[in-house]
Amino acid sequence: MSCGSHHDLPCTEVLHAIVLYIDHEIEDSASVHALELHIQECPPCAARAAQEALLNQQLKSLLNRSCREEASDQLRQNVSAMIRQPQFEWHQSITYTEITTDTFIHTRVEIHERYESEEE
Amino acid sequence: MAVQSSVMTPPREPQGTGKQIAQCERVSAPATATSSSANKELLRAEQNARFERDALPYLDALYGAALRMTKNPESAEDLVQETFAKAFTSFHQFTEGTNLRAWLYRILTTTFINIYRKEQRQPLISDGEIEEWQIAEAATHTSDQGKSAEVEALEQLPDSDIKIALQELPEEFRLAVYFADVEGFSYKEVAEILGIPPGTVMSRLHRGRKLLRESLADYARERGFIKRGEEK
Repeated sequence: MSCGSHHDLPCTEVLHAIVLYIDHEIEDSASVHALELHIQECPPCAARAAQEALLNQQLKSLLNRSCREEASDQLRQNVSAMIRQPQFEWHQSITYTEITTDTFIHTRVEIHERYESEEE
Repeated sequence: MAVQSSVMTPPREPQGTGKQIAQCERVSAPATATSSSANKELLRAEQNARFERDALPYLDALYGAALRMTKNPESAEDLVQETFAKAFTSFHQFTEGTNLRAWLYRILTTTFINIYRKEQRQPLISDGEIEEWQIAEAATHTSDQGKSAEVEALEQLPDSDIKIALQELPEEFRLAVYFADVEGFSYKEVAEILGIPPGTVMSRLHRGRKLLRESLADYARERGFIKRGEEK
């Protein structure tokens, strides 16, 4: 599709790239320049770019207005406490006990896990 | 935590009728007070202080993202706590000067996937379909006249409608939109956080924005902010 006038960069390519341009995702400066040149020369593409930018900007501001959250004091305390507590180490002890009765033999396995501070 | 030493200790007195045959004691690290361990201690204290200074300020933001993932405050708090615990214990693996914010969000996302979404759900729309949709959508000049009325109408929507509309978006679109448009991450950063290719981020983001806008317009219509005559 074309707006009727000739451009070095065809309208279809510009239209495909408009969202990327608005999101500042086109890294190649020559491409950005070609796109901007086209938009200056082509009113339909300029209108489309302006509209797309407006819609994106609005969506962003609506989301930012409504989706900002604050962590509860409890959560903040929990996380801070976790960072400040002394470094704990993981200890595990396993005890194997063989129990013999008149009729059967079985093995009992006890696993104890604990966290212990190095400072202790 | 890694097990670095394993020592066998002699069995204790047998208990009851049982005869203890073996006891195994394992600790995560030998706790000997040498000068190198004192150095380590100092290094770790410094690292903890750095974590508190650099990572803790993202608590609110991570909680916001967690809430978008889990959809309820209790699970979101658990998720954030788990994320900070993981980030804290693996902070030594983080390269200073690189993107800490993206690193934290990456941990948040993987933790969410591991804990809250064990089974990997099939995406609703394959990426191939999205590409075709995009091409059809993008390659026209048509700009519908109803848009400016719609923009005004959406401004009037209460925050609760916007939150619900975002929540109703399928997860793959919701997270792409949230990370790009609320957190302001680039496509590349979103790709790293979600562990998907940048091209997929692009299609999910574009499609997600469109779906969200349509849903918001529906809410605006329900509330009477968009009148029939103003529709395209």
